[in-house]
Amino acid sequence: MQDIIHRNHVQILGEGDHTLVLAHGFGCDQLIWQPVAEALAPDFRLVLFDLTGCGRSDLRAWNRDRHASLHGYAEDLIEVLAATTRAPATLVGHSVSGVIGMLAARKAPERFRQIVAIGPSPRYVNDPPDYHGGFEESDIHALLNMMEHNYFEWAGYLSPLAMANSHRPELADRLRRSFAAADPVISRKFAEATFFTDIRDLLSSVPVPVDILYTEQDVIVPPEVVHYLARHLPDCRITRLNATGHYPHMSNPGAVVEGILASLRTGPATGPLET
Amino acid sequence: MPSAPADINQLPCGLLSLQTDGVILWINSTLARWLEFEPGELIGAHIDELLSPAARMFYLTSLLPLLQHQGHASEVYLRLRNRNGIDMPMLINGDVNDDKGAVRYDLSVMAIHKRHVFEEQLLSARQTAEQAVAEQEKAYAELEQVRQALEAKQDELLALNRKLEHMATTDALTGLANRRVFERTLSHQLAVLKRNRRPVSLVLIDVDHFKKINDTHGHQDGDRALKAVASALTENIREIDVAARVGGEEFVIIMPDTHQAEAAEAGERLRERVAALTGTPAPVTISVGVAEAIPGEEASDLFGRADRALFEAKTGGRNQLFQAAAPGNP
Repeated sequence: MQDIIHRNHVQILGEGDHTLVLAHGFGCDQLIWQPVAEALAPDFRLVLFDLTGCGRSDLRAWNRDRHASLHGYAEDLIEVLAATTRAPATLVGHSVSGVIGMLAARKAPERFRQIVAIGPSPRYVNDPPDYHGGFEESDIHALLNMMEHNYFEWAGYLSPLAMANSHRPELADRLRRSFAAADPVISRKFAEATFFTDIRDLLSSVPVPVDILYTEQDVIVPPEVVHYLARHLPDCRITRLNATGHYPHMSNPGAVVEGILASLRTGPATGPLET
Repeated sequence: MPSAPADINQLPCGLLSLQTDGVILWINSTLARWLEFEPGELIGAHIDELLSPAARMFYLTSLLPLLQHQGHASEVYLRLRNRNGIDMPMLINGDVNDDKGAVRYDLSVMAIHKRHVFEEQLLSARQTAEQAVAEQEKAYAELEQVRQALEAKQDELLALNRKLEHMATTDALTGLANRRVFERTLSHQLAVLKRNRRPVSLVLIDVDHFKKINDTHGHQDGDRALKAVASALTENIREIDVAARVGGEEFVIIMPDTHQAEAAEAGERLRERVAALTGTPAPVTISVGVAEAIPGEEASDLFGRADRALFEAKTGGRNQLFQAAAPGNP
């Protein structure tokens, strides 16, 4: 359990019977929740953490195979829940973490009360004629390319050139390991896992209530996606926040706090898990 | 003393100020010209108008978090879209400044066309190389699989060879050496005798009335009797002796380093042990003929002398041992 706390740099704030787990999205870490967390801490027990490979998580715990898809991140989330709370918790997930929460809830429904997802998308890439995700596949490749340009680390990036001509697999192995330790690679792989994800087929089997908070002018998640989720999740409510952009918890934390509070479903909470 | 240039609009560097929500507050002429706009056209517009969908995503998930969390961004690569929809590679530094209580992002922008072409080539070379590495690893994995399959086949072959070797040298019923091993061993021992004068003796054994056991009790009991005799032989000889089954109910023991008298003692002991066997379907006895090899003697001659001794044991009433006379003294 201690390794999970360390692995995902888990922080616990506040007290209360109701635990909210705040999960950050792509390109950030748990610090992004600060304004929201300050407002919620008096009334809830808050669990904050960094996705494996992000922020102050243990980069060595990132695994090329496990974290090649969002399912690996979902496994991580279940472990974080198991390490921090006995009673079912409410997950507040921004962006990709909303989707990670849905995947985790399918694997371990008993750990979830409900999911509050801020700007989630089951698929970012358009799938004409019926699905508008907001991006062409070429856009995603352009994004990855831009990331590559930004993470130009000459020595690291050139090593595969040498490796290609190498007939010493152990050398290739060593180089690859040193590669995996560099977070630019993690970021790029996380971007691939995120922006090429497609969980549309799994939505109908998400076993917990989902509340979606969305904003106008979210350039990453167009309104069609929100409505698609509302149609395909078994138990889903959508709420438009009085905020704009993909990061309402930064631009208007008050609106996000209100949205979260309004989303919380009253009624008998499920009893604590058997341990 | 030279003065600083007066007009920052004319410096060879793009400058851009944004509200935190992305609205363009100010843009210098140089950057507007690079993007083929008039500065006035862009003031009040949203930065998204200068960003492709991919660039918007990158702006939101990389550049903006840097400005918000770190307060500055350095050497960020971003493509800005010009009036004609062409994405132009730029390198951006950014700072967060406070303008009379309103937070503002000030960005300096450098066009990096040549460097960009160079980087693109490197990136593409790298991707090709990565693919080559992946293919090479796949080939290694396949090779390893083939190697393992080959190794398994070789193990199988070795096991099969051991089994064949065993079958070729062993009498299947009794587990004793077969006639082939007997002949090979005897000729070797005769060669040793010829060269080193080391004695060797043969103890030839025949089960008495075996046909009768077979006829009365059946083949299975006959086989059991043969196995019992074989066990009695192996249990009562030395390690250097070789016991073989050389015919239906005929056994032979080659005793290296052994003169005839000694071999006869051993043979006599074997005869007693067999006669004392219990647990056989019927009482079993053996007749025994013993002969010591004479230097230079052929295997067949030695065997013949032992066989004649055995014949005498048989005709003498069975369950007894006879020693061969020296050659020429029948």
